[in-house]
Parts: sequence; C-alpha cells; structure tokens
Amino acid sequence: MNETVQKIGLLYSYGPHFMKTLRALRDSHPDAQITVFVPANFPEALLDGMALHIRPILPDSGQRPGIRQGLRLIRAIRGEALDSFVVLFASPRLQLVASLSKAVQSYCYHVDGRVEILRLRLLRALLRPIKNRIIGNLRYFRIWVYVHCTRVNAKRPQEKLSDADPNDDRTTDIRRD
Amino acid sequence: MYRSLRVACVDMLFCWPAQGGADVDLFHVLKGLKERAMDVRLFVPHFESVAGRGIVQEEELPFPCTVLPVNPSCCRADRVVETLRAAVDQWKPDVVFLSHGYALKPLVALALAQYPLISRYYAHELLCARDAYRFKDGIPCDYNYLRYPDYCRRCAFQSLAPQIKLGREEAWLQDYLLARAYETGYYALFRKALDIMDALVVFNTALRDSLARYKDKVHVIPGGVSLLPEGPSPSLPFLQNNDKKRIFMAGRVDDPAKGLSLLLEAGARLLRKRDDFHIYATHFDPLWQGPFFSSTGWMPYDTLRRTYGEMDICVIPSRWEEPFGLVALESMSAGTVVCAADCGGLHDIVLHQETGLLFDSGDSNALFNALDWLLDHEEQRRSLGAAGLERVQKHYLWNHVIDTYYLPLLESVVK
Repeated sequence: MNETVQKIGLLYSYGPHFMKTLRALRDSHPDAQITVFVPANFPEALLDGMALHIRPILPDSGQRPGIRQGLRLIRAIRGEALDSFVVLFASPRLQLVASLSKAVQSYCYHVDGRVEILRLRLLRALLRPIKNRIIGNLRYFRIWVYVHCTRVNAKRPQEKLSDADPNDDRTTDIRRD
Repeated sequence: MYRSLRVACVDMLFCWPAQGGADVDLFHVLKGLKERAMDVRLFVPHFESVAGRGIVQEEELPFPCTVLPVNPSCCRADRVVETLRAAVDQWKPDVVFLSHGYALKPLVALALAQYPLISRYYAHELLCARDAYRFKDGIPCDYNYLRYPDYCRRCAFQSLAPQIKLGREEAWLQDYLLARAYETGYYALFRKALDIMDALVVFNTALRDSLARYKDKVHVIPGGVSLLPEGPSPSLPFLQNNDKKRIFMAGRVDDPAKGLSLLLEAGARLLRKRDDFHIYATHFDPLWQGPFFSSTGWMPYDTLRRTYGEMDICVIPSRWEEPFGLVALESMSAGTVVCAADCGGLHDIVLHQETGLLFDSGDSNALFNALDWLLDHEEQRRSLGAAGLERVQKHYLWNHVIDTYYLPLLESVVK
C-alpha cells in the first residue's frame, strides 16, 4: 500500500490476523488516520495506544447481519471518504463491500501476510469456489476408488488393535473392513 | 573444536516472518551454526497457490536463503523434488539438514540420498498420516503410521475428504496429494527414506521411544529460547485494573488440541470457590471474553515475551502429546511458574514440584487442584518460577543447544 495514504479503513472479520493487520497498518502508516469498523461489543481497550478512530457499528458477534445493517455499514464506510479500504478475506461479500466503499483503492490482507489489491470480480469470486468444488469432488472420487478398491494384505486376519503395543513399529497391515 | 561444514538445509514450509514454532526453531539453529563458522544455506520451495509456504523476506535472515518458486500450473511432486535437488547439488554441501516438511519430505530425502542426511521432526508427522498431531476425537491417537500404515492411510483419507472435496489446499493436504500419500506404494518410499537417513531428530523422549526400530539414529534435541534483554514493561491494554492474580495461556489457544476448554472448565470450578483470579489467553479474537477470562488479542513476539513476566501463573493444558512446549520455556525464562499437562515434551521440560507443576493431561480436576494450590501459595509460586528460570539458563539457551547437540551431531554424521 502506498505509504502516503492518509485515510485508511479496516473492516473487522473473525480471523486470526485482525490485530496483526491493524498493527502492521499502524507501523507502516504512522501518520495516517486509521478507522476500524468493529462490532458494538468490541473491547476497545485492546486498541488503546494505537491512535485509531473506532467505529463500533457492526452487529454483535453471534448476530447475523441483515440488509439494513449492511446498508448502514456501507453508508458509514462511504462517509469516511477513505483513501484505502482493507478487508481480511477476499470473499464475494467482502469484495462487494470493498467495491461499494468508495475508497480510492481496496486491499485484502491475507492470513499469511500477502497483500492483494482488490478489484471487483464478483463473477470470478463466485465461480472460483464452484470450480474448486467440482475439481475437488472429482479428485475425491478418484482417490476414493483407489483407496476402497485396493485390497490390502487380505490373507491376514485383522489384528485387535487394543491388544497391540502401539510403540512397536513392526509393520502390521490391516485388512479393510 | 568442530570443523566448518557446508550445511544445506531444506525446509518445505519455511516462512519468515515466522508462521510457527518450527520456523523460529530453524531460524535459531541456522543462525547459531552460521555464528560458529558453518557455511549454511536454506532452500525453500515457494508454492504460490498455498498460503504459508515459502513466503520469506530474505533480507531479514542472517543466513543465505534460496527460495525456489513452484508454478501452481505445473506443480508435480517430481518437479518440486527435482528443482530442490538441482539447487542443492549446485551448492555442493557436506551435509543436508531436512527440516519441516510433510508427505513430500521422504521423496526429497530419497532424491538427496547421496549426501549425509539429518531429518528434524517438529511434531508427530512420522507417526500420523492425517496431520502432524496424532490427535483424534479429542484424545491422542494410539495408532502409529509405521506400524499400522493401512489403517492410518484410510483414516487420513477420511479426515481429509471434506477439504479435498472443497478443493481447499492447505500445506498438509497439498503434500498429501502431490506425494500421493493415499497410495499403498507411498509407505514403502516412506520407510526407505527413513532407512537411508543418517540421523532423525525429535523433540522428546516419548517420540524417540515410539521409533523403536530406528533407536540407533534417533536423537532427542530440545528447542531453545533466548533470554530477553532488560527493557521497560510493555503497555498491556488488555490487563484489567484490579488486584486479581493473573493466569495466562499462550500459543494457538483456539486449537482444540491445546486444551483451552480444559482451562475454562477448571476456571469455572475455581470461580465457585474464589474470585481472586482472571484468565488471559492469547486468543486471536478480541471478542472472546467472559466473566473470568478474556483475550489478549494478537501481540508482537517481543510484547508476548514480556507479557509472561506480568503474569502470576502460566498454564499449558495441552490435550495432545505436545512435541516440545516452547511456551513453557518462554514462561520459565520470565520467571513465571508453569502449570502444564504431563505429556510429550512438557514432561521433559517441567520437573514436577521442582520447576513447576505437572497435572494429568485432560484432567480438569487435577488442573483445578494445581491452580488452587498455586493461587494459595505465593512463596512457592515464586520459588518454582525462579527454579524454572535457572533450568532454562542451564539447559535451554540457544548457545547451549547448538554447542551440546547440533555441532556434535553434524560432525558425527559427516564422519
């Protein structure tokens, strides 16, 4: 992200890298105004000392966000007139929020530290999981056939595992059920 | 004195900044070897399609590193292995150190068989085919991939099936699919790779005992820790302004194998008896909180290390056979008493009633009793903490670990 960015917005998501991303943003942009959109019951004390603008407008954790709350969130984000808007996952829903944020540029900070510029590719974002699922199911079926059609040492009776010493690593093949 | 060697290290998962304990461990080992005039180089494949593999900021490493990009469109086991082999061959090492890796690791070992090979195992990846935990249905699994390969092969397939169907590849699944670990033939390669290795390095004695067949070449080498330099107390906004005693659980506490539920169970019982304590856990979600517990949120590593010193008791309630237990060392190095489950590496690190307290793994009643006793006995808490610090200074500082274990091992393997 450009270091001269002045107004940054970060949307809270339930993920292991929310605080880490926040810290990284503050360290890389010490002078920027960072606005964090968090749930209403967020413990704001945890963010003390980071000079953040906290907007507790997301529904409490456990509540499902409705359309009205979604519109309220988007209005709030747009009202901030952000230079950069950051989300934590590149899901279709967050991509949509990012595209409606009116920010000059939107980014996704991934769990593994990658930073990706978000462009509205809703169709691609929606199709990708479907494609992965089809490929995954085909792969699963191929492996299932292999695993279940391979007879393993069928002449050998099944050993009662509870009687065996688990630390004895002499190979014991177990016939499939 | 040990002679200078060219040590090639191949790590299939390394990331820097670190994404796990294995990365930190390897970082310190290679740094220590380099400081002892060893010529070390790290080789890491970078799988672009999978999170957390080979994302390395090379300029932050104190030793040279070669990141080998793996194109997702032609990602095949033989190509990955060949790329690694060619890079290592070009560098001409005296010895190859295979560090973190999953199902592809045996294939890499076989490709590098011409060199003296040392293989480091960070968890139970040798003994479990489904993940590195050997932990199933909430308890440690008794099965052993070396002994029950077909049972474990099917278990792995059943466990990984949902991920396979969704097409979501994480590091373990990617290795599993690339190496075709679901095939019966994989086991033969796995055994062959173990046979050709010159040394197998594990974290604790229980793991060594599980590898009875290879007892001659299994070495138990603990991890290490560095002492924090003196510095100001960190600002910890999550600490509540009251005089309650602080119980701390650090690490990946959201992982069920780490036993947070056990600590909460013991805490709930404790609350019926007393309310002079509060449990802090490094849960990633700041919203994780309740009447007697709350999250610290994510913290930078330096802040985390200093946080131990602000706590009264550090609890490690692991339900799985913790291979090492770095959290115990970090807590002991801050002089904070450790109350840990009696399992795996924790059994080796914490000496019961000498440098901390051990309780039966999975037993919330035992944890309740241990915490109750520690909360009541401040003097003993302090003396156990001080003894823990002394033990760390004597046995677990990185310089000691490198000099005592790694240098003799490298020398013996090259001979």
